Amino acid sequence: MTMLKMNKKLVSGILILSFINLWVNKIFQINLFISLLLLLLSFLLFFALSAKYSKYAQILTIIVLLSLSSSLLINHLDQRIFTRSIIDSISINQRHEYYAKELGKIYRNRVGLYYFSQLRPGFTKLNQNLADLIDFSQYFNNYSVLFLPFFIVGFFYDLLKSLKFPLVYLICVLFTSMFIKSGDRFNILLLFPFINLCVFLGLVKFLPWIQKAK
Amino acid sequence: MDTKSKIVIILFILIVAFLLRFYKITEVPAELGTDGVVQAYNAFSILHTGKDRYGEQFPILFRLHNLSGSYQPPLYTYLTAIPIAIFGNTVFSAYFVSIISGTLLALISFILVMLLFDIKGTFILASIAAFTLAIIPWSIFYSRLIVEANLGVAVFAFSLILFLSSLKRLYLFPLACLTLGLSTYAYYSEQVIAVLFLPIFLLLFRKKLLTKYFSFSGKNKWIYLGLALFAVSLLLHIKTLETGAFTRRFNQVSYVSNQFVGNSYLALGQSFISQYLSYYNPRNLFFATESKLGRFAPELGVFYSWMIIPFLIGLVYLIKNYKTTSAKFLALLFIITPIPAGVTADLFYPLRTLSFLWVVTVIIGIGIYQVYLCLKPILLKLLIFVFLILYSLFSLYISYFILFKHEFRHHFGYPTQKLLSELNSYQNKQIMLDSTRDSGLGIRIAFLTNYDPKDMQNQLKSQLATPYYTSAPNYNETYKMGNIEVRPIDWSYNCKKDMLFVGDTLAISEKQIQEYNLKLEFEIKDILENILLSAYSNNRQGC
Repeated sequence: MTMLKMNKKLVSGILILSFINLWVNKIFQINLFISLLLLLLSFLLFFALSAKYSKYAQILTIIVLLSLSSSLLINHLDQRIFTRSIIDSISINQRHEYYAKELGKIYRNRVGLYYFSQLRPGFTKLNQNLADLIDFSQYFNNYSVLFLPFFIVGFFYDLLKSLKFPLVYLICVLFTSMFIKSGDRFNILLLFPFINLCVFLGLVKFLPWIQKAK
Repeated sequence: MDTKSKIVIILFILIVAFLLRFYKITEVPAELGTDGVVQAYNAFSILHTGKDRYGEQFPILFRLHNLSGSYQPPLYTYLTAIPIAIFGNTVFSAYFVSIISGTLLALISFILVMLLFDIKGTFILASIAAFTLAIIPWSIFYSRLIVEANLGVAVFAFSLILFLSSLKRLYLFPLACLTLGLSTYAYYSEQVIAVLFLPIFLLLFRKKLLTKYFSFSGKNKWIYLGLALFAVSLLLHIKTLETGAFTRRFNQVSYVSNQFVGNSYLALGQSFISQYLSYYNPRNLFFATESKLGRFAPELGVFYSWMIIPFLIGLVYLIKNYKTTSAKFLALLFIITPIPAGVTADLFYPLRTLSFLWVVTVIIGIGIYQVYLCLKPILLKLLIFVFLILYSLFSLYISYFILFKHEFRHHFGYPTQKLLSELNSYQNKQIMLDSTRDSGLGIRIAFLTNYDPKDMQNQLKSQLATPYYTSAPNYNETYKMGNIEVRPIDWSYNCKKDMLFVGDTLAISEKQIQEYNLKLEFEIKDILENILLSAYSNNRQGC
């Protein structure tokens, strides 16, 4: 689904927005190469909404996203999802007594023991990582809280217009970032292009003169 | 669908709601919490004497004995007198009003959605909203605690049914206003919400409710009557307004007078915006668990995580239909209900915003209905919904009925019923129970043993260091009930004959056991064999 007719104002707008926000400076300090890729993703996601360039932009977005995601997952995978720390083990042992008493045979079998000692703690960690990703207050500490209303407008505009590609991007990025350790600085990076796009869409909604072609 | 089938569906939803709130109520939570058992005993006292445990006749606010001293809104306590009269001083009768409030909220949600929407399939939409409420974690959790907030949201929601009905039957408006006024006696949050809701509701629906502004003719007489009744219903609050008791709880929990926040309007404004917006943060609503939620169940949030999707769908639906009565009404509630919690210092404290959580639940119900409409094959609908319900209830069972029961038992005080059954064998001894780390122990024993309210009133009234309604209630209280004295242990009593000292491992140390040559009588342990309480008899050595 496309909705933007490209003009110089729109392109300039997304360029300016991508560079003037506080977050991009922090990303540049983390890693120059990743920050350039993220900026590229921002533009590609924006162009994916255009009538003329959407197909190419979407393909390029997928390629860049796959590369960046692979790199982040290889270097910053959250091992806690798959291994148990000492504190986790103590908690699991303690809870073993509770489950054994309350669940009886439902717990005291191979499947039950495996689920509660291995799978469930892993899912809990993934849930915690996802919770940290969904915490939008941390993005607007980075981005500037002034942009929050525009983000909200842009995000719901996305949903209202059923802009599939950005929403698919969001889901893929959330799924990938869940496996990156929270608090790592890297886990929230992949969301930058999406947030950038939503803020821009919100600005376009509020400031329709941006969209008018010369 | 015929009427009989509809009634069966509604009854099924109510039964599910009731069972989830009633199942194992005497085991989970582990004990009657301090605040809750105070309400229960006060209800018992009011029933038999017309006075609370301090001897105050029909209080407007109930003085609470806890670590900081506060007051409880009255409605829950007065209503609890009814189940106590019927069932006696039992755990069930203490929880009864909360359980019924939570169950009825499912029915109220159903009726509200039926009134709000006039579309094809409204019955299914209303049933989904009601069923969502029936199985939602926050409602189950708080229906299983003795909390006034749960009653508050039920009364407030009921008033909304009347307000909606008054749009077509104006004569219901005064009754709606009276019910709204009643909700302000249920919980503190409703005091703020009620005052905000009424004028905005009138403004939003002025074309339906009013003829010419300020005229007394036609429809307006019902509006003026309603406003007058609302004002009259708030009059009782005035009695406590000047004493400091009315604002005591606000002063305790709000950042407004906090010197670290700063006294400037800008600083206060920033704090309010930050706190207020935290209630809309999807992380807090759908993913935050236990420690971030003020003692919620482990690994469980106020909503199931998957509900973020129908919530967003429901919001989009309302935005698309923003001109409809349902969208305007829900938008009004969505905006104003977090405001009371927004002026408190705790970051995202669900108990103070149950009305907001209820509105979110209704929106989730709308979203689920939209998904239901989109899915075409009936088998697919059935599979998905059955899977989600079973997964949700499984998560609830593990987190609440197992983990919360055992890992949070220390938040609810000592195992009093086990203790009382042990103490039955020591009728010939003077028993001293240490209450340093369980300030509710004395009143819990008083409630469970049906201790004479008049005697309790005499004891506690003499311990009041400040007037009943005050901005600084004292909280160090001791209880004497027959041969049982509940207080911080006083070792000078060791020289008395036939003493039994009961306390946790901090109250009675190894050194004291040796020094006073105490003899172990019994221990109460938890499931992991940790000692919760020990009882020692003395032999008066060294006196």
